[in-house]
Amino acid sequence: MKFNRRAFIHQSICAAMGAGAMSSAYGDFARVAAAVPPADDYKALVCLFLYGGNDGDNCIIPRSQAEYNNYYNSRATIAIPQNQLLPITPKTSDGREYAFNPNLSEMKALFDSGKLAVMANVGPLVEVTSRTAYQTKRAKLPRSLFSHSDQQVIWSNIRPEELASGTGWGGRVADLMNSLNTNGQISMSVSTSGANTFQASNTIAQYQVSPKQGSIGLNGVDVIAGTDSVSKAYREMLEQEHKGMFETEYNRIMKRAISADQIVKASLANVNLTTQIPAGYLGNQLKMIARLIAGRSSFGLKRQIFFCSLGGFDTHGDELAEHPPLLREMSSTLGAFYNALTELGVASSVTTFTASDFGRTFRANGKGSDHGWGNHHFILGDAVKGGDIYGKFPNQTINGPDDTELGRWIPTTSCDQYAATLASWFGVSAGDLTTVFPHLGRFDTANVGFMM
Amino acid sequence: MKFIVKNYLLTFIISLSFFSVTVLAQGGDGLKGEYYTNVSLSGTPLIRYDKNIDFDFAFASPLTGIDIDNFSIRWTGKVQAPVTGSYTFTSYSDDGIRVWVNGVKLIDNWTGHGGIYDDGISINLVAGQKYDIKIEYYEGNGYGQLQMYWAYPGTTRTLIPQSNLFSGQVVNIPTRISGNGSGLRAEYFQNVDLYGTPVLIRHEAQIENDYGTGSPASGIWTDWFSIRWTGEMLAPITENITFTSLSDDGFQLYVNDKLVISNWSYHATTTNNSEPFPVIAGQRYSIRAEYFDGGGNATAKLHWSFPGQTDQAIPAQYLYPATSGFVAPLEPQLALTPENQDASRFLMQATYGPTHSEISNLRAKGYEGWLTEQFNLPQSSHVQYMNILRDEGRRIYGEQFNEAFWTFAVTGRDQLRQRMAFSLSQIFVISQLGGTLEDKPFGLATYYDMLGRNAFGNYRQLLEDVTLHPAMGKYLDMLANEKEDATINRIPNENYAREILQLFSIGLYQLNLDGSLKLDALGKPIPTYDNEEVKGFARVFTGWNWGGNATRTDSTWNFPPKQYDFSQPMQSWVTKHSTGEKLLLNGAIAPSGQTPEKDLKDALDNIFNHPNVGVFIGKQLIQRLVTSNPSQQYISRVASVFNNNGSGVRGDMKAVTRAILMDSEARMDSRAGYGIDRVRTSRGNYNRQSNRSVTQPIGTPNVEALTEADSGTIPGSVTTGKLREPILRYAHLLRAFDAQSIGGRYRFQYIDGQEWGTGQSALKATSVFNFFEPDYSLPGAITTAGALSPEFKLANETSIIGNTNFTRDTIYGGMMTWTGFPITLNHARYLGWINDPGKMVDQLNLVMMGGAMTGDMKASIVRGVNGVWDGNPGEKLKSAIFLVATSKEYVIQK
Repeated sequence: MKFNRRAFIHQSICAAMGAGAMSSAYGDFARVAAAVPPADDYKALVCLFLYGGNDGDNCIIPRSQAEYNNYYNSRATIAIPQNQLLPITPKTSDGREYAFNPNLSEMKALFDSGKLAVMANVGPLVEVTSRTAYQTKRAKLPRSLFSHSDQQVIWSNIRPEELASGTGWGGRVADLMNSLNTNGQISMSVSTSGANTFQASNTIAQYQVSPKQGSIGLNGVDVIAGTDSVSKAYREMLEQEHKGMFETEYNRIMKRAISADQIVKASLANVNLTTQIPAGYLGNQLKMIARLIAGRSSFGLKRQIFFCSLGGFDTHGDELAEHPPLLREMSSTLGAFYNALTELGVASSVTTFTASDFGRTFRANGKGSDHGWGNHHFILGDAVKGGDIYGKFPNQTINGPDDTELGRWIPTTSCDQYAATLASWFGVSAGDLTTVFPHLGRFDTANVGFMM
Repeated sequence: MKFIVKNYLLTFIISLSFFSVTVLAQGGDGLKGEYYTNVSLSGTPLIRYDKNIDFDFAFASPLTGIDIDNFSIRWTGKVQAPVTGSYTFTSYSDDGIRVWVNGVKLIDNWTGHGGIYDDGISINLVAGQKYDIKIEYYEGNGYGQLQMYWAYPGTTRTLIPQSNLFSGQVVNIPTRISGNGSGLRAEYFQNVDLYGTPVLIRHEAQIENDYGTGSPASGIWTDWFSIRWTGEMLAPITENITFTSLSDDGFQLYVNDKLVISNWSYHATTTNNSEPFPVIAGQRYSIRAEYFDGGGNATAKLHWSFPGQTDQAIPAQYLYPATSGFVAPLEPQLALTPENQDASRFLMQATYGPTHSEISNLRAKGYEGWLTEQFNLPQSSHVQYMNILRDEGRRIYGEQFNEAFWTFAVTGRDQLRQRMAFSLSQIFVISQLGGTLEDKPFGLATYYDMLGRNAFGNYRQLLEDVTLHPAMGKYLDMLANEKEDATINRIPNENYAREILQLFSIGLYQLNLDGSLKLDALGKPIPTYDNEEVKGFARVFTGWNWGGNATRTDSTWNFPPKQYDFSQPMQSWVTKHSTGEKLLLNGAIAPSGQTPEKDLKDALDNIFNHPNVGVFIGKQLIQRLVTSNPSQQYISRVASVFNNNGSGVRGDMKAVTRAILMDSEARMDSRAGYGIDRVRTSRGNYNRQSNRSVTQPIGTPNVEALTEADSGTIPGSVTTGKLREPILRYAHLLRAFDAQSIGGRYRFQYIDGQEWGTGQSALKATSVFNFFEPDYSLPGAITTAGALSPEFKLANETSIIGNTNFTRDTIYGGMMTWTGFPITLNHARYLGWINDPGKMVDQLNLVMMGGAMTGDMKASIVRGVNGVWDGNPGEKLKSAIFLVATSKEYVIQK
């Protein structure tokens, strides 16, 4: 095909959005839950993935004496001293008392002010599972429990029995919601942390930005407007079709990057954000996300899904040395991110939530903990009914009713329910929820209740 | 005991009478170091002259012949005071330190301790005076470090510089030989690439030119010219000469055809020093200085300095002009024949990328001959590379493993072994990221060399060497993994047990020989193991800790004396090993009461003999070398060779390597996907041209379950080949265009940023799951087609553009590393190609793409090249390389 500048930009935007958004062939995916949204309607989901398996049992700690004693005795070598705990008082009591890890001080304050909620003992389930069913191997279980890569995938796609990673639940939600982005200039799915299964969609691309620089443009050649012969040759080659699928897909990313760079650079240049988000691996990512949210009007997006991550949570070896700085980074950064969203006036439009491979064994292996199953997670934002613990906190008795063995808790809430609660808030209709989460009906409620 | 005397650091001026005026300004040479193999400074030391006291020994040995722990060092010499006043000397040490100046003991902290500052008592010194200094230091075990600082009136604490330290080393300056030379031959070119016939040739006495904005010679433009000076240099003295250039713009100097100064870029006047270059009095050395001016001011000067001689323009009497012009060796053009294309493609799979000479070499030797040669070549050792630098007194830190890696990837002769080591490093993953191996260059290098050593050995030995390597022990927590203890509710660490099964050997599900999943009666995949087996293996892997310790007690378990000695495999502590019986794979049991060694042997034999291993490992090696989506038949053939090499041996990695590379599927479609000759029929057969040249007979065509869409004619429908990883692309670029670096060292450090860089370094994956999982599939068309594309996990909007820019900068300007040692492509060698742009693009097509370039792509590049100004031949070549190297067609290996 002949190249011209207009055609290139148009085509690239299609690619950027995921061609499906403009193609009737994907009409089935374009059903939208909400009625016509108000003009100022904007919502974003931010997934913070804690790679490696965050030890939730050292994040939310029972502080009633009997429960604390049990906690301490089960994992003495990695236990948080009782006098260092940050006590919380959930709005709803289950008769036990709880505390935050001392390194989660900002998150604890947000819990106290009702902006942050805790989802207790959530994890992948195929069906409601009892200890007996687990032990007698009668339970239908998610495949490859305790494997990092597989549990990361299952937390992301919530298809616990399927071998192929396929699409992520964020990707499927994006498929449904993208038609609200009638004038989208970049993809509604943005990752500051590389490729991930959560946003995987066959129609909506993950736009993977640089945490520090946002977008990056080509140096030395101008494929949009350059008139020198090398720029022209580059442009021609970008437009040449190839029968190789890999070549075609690589080219698609390249063109998406080139066109998005034009828009993102211009948009970020106008962003004014005074809240300081601490620099660092996660800080750079959340700062970029805040800036992209601030520039959302130039992207023409009503709905966005962001993915960021923090790694290093596989604390087998020396948990008391490795875990605290990670929690410090998470808490201080999330606290600042929330303040930034407040400054931007979107704290009620942006909901941040955590995910992770799995929880960890309640029992210590020496100076660390091994791969577990159910885990505690956090949801943050003004649209969150914070200050409370949702779901059922597990009975932390080794070989008790919630244990498989060694304190690998059987989840008492499924990922389907956790994610569906978020997706509902985001605008996915009740009818569509079962499309995104086919197993949702197997669990007692589709909405755990932590969102307004 | 061996005595080492190295004087390469010696650049100071001995106080000869006629030079005495310059002594103070010239500064010192450092201190004399005596290295002892004990903590008590006793016995006969090894000697090394050190330029200053700034050492981060970390966990490594300071010098070959000295252990990583339990050594001591005494430095002696003189320290010269720059001003008159009160001085405070400060040490930062781990462990013990004592310091005397002028016979007064200033610091005394002769104890084992972590890194701490010790301020000495103050001492008054007089400007210009030299005082005796003695520094004694010892390192017990663990981390080792020593820095010496001072503070004096007008300064805050700074490292004591080399210029104020004098070792007292006696150097006999021999009589200087006189020369009778007259200068050098100078050739002028009316372009910036020394290209074509010189427009002016003349004799010049020295290289000492400040052209300003004017012309260098009558008839030469004021800008846009280049000059080459050639001839010989007579060495006046047996010494180390330091060459110095001042240039605006680019300058490079070759002495005896070795690149010693490299700054071939556009810049304002810049000074560049060579490393000390050893010469012998009376001998002549070939000199080739090259220079260009792009615009603005123009300066070109070449100086030397050596003991007894301050910086000066090299005098004419030591220069002898060449009688004929230097002719840059031109890369001969190879024909774009099917045979050469096949050879190029083979080398993409078997090396860090084809070069013209390697294609010729392969054609000459034949495939089997080439493989045999590669199997037998000595291994390039990353450890040795770092040891040599370390013994020269250089500081070794984490990035130096990366430097060693790049040096051998680009220049190592044992390409196949190095490529296999890289592939294995992506299965048996350890990583610089994640803390435990950060800044442990010897841990990385010993591990990487271990992979290379086993690349052509047996998988069983490889698995054992991986398991017992302390770098892996640190990375996945087998090191210091202790048996269960019910009294404190402790269980063995499961980390290594889980990953050795999931990632290093058999994977999660039972596999057929062809890589497909075995299914149960319900059609579901069958797990290879359950949590019970993981617990069994976790207990097998208890009781191992740092190797090389004589005593193995509770105390040495907790504080092993040989911590961070990565050169020895881990060692067992019987009392820390779990003694009960252990469940292994397929119901096997390691009986109770066995030694740690016997348990380990049983467990590794048990894993090794699991039927999955050959399939699981074989498929991944195919993916790393050849294609992301091998056919089931291909997997099956390779796995069969793993199971039995033909002589009844299981796990023969040499046989597996050969099977992968010589398989019909790797070889048959050498021109596959080129739009030339491969069409798959609707029944999935390959129709091929019959003109084959591979020395091995081609097997029967493979039948795959293919759809009509795979007919090879629909854009975006063919899933053969693989995305080349950034490391492979970059190494190939440097190999294909003969990248030049000073001393042959590729000092690439910190080049793995996504925004500008490779986005990838060896042994630097984000987790044990490598840079990408072998079953990663890019969402979209690739996933929909059911294809795998592992390397695409690294390909995103940021990394693709960042890598393209980085590649462009390397091609156009040379890679200015953080270390200040640029690496530049040797464009001169290929400039002869530009006369015929079509043929030039053919050469790039052959050596970079194995002939896979489409006609449209070639036409675009030729147009692009033709549009570049004829007066800029280098730009024509660079543009062509850039357009190929960053194209979608190149980045996919077919």
